[in-house]
Amino acid sequence: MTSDKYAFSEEDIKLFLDETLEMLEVLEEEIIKLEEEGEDRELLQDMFRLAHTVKGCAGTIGHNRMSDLAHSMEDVFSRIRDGELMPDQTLVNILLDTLDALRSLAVEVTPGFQGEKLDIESYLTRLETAASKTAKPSETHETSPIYGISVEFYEDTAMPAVRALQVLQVLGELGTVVDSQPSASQISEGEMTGFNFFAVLEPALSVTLEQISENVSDVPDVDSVECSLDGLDEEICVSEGEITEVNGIEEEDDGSSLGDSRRILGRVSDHAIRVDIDAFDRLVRITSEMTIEQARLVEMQRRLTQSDAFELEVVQGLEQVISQMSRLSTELQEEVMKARMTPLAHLFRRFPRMVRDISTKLGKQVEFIVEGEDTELDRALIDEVADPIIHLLRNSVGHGIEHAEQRLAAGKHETGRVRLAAGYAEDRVIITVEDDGRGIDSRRVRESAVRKGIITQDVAAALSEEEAIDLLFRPGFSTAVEADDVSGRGVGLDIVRSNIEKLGGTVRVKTRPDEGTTFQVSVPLTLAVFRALLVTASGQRFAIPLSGVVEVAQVPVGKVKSIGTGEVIILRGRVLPIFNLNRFATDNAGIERNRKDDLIMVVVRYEDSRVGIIVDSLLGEQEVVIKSLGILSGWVTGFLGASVLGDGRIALILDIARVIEKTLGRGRLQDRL
Amino acid sequence: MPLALIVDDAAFIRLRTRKLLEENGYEVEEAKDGEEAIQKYKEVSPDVVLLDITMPVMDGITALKGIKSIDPQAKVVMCTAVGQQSLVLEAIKAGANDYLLKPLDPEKVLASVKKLVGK
Repeated sequence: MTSDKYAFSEEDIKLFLDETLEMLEVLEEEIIKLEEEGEDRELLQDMFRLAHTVKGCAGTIGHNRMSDLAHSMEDVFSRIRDGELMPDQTLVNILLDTLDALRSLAVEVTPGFQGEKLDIESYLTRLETAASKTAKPSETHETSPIYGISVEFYEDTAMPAVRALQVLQVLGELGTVVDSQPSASQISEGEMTGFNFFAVLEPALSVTLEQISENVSDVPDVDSVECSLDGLDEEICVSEGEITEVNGIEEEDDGSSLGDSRRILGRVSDHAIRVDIDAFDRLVRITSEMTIEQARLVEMQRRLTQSDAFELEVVQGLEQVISQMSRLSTELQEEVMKARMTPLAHLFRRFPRMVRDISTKLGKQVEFIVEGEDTELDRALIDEVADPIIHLLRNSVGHGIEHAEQRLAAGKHETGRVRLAAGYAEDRVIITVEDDGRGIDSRRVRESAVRKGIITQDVAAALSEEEAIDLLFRPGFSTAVEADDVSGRGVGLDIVRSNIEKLGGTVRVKTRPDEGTTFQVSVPLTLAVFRALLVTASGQRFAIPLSGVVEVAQVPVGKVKSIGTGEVIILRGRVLPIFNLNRFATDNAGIERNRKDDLIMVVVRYEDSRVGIIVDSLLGEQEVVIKSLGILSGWVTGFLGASVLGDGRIALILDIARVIEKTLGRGRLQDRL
Repeated sequence: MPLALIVDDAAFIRLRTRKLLEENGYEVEEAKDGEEAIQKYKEVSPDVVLLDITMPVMDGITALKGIKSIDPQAKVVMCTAVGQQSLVLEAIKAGANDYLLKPLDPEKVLASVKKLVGK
């Protein structure tokens, strides 16, 4: 039965991936929680349910290895829940490995998947071995068992849903129905097509299997009842066996060799956002209103072309339509922006596992606290802040938190504490990574910077405490110190800062010796809209992102000096390389020296570098919406994109980092951008 | 002898069912709509009620609720047609014990009634 009717579309596969990967993420979080907080019936019930659903999805898509593995995991959860297994560290480790395996298995259904298919044998064996070893002593067997009840109705039953409802009622008198297939609400709505019903029952005290079987058989039209202790009937979970493997769909590989952090994120569907249904409805409403206005416009155009007389009525109508349209488009823009907002929880929930892995590897005891995961951020930004946060967390666990002995010796609690928190501050989101570790010793930072040739001894001595700590963010500071897989692969805090600054954000650090270190990342709520300074040069308009603007100054031409091939301006005793926006096309040509009026200069900053951009005039500040330059983007360097202004003209948006790089002719930025 | 109350607006159906039940050892009372059914239930407290769903004056679901409020232990079998599943589900939630599909199959009627009166 492999007709095309049963083939899976790309859409199906995408949904499968999105859904299972999300469930696996939640499951991961819950496994960690289980280890931390011990057995919790509700938690275990949820874990059991998730594994069960993953199994069902995998079965439906015909991925038998995945469904088998999920089944084994589900077994272990149910045994933990029933008090037969102890979730000790060994078992949790195995569960986490199994989870990773399930992730890899899920990804195998991606169209064009060419990697090696995972062999699940070893995972199955490990789960089984662990299950047999960690069996609890039987005296603690006090938790009530779980019964699986499988009911078949006669195939001529006219209304199977009614019978299923009656079975549910009967079961309700004997205990608590934890889950059923079809679900209680489906049954209540009459949605039942087959003649099988399956329920998981947590029986009331002293209710026996026989009793259940007897009472259920009493419901009319019941053909057979099978009750078993915690056994979930295979038939139910693995759906119609007629679905074929999907792995075979061959397509161009998108060449994704997932990086370390990407692998941690397990991200496959980077481009999916979930939109609140109400928000979507508002979008639909706005769009349909716009369609109506559009139709009115067409009608007016028709009337205008038909009559040669100037019609006042038409003009008034036009005014109305225009004001409606502008209201609608503002509303539309706001709604679409809102739809891009995603809670940070999507990102944060992956971190407990990562922190646990790192601290286990390093033999450190770390308590990890996550706060403010409801804070929402533009979806695009969430992806961008992921790597920097991963880096900061690794940093905290790897360098900040001390080993237990050291902590005890310093009079601290032996378990270190790492806190990840997010919250709003005006139109920005602040993400904090805080540890109560050893702190950063500014003296050692100075020494190290001198040793690496970043600054001279004299400069080092003259730096304030704060400036000294800031050396951590200097390029070249943390590279090559250690390239272990805990603190990153030779990637330093400079990359963290430059990545965040690229988003118009900032990174700050506060530290106290022996008390701990706090990194504070601040990013704008959204990337797509930002405030910019509008300027003109050679008759063109340009937008300079306000986040990078330090000041605007008027400077007499006489202050321009030539140094080598470039030009600089001495501003308040500081040498400032200049970039003439008037001639950006001719690669930083010089300034016309015999002009009489003052130069208008916008001073911009990127990392530690400042450059003065010479413009013709200032037009003021404005919110701009960034649009990609598309295919042109490789051709025109130095611009982030373009923005359409109110009068329909285009302003190019300056990429400050590139402009500075161009001006200073530095190679380091080039390597990275 | 157990007592059955047959509620249906069609005299023909009442007659057929009465015959069937009497032949099998039941005493039978009749009602032709929901209101009459509640009234009769109060008077004779039958062991089992066969209750049609679609009836004039008062429908079967309303009658069921009325009967259940008088006697929560009342044994009621709903008689229904194909396509009324949502009504039957509602009836079961309101405490009906079983349902029978029209046209009534004598064997099934007897089986259902027998189960409920425990005989």
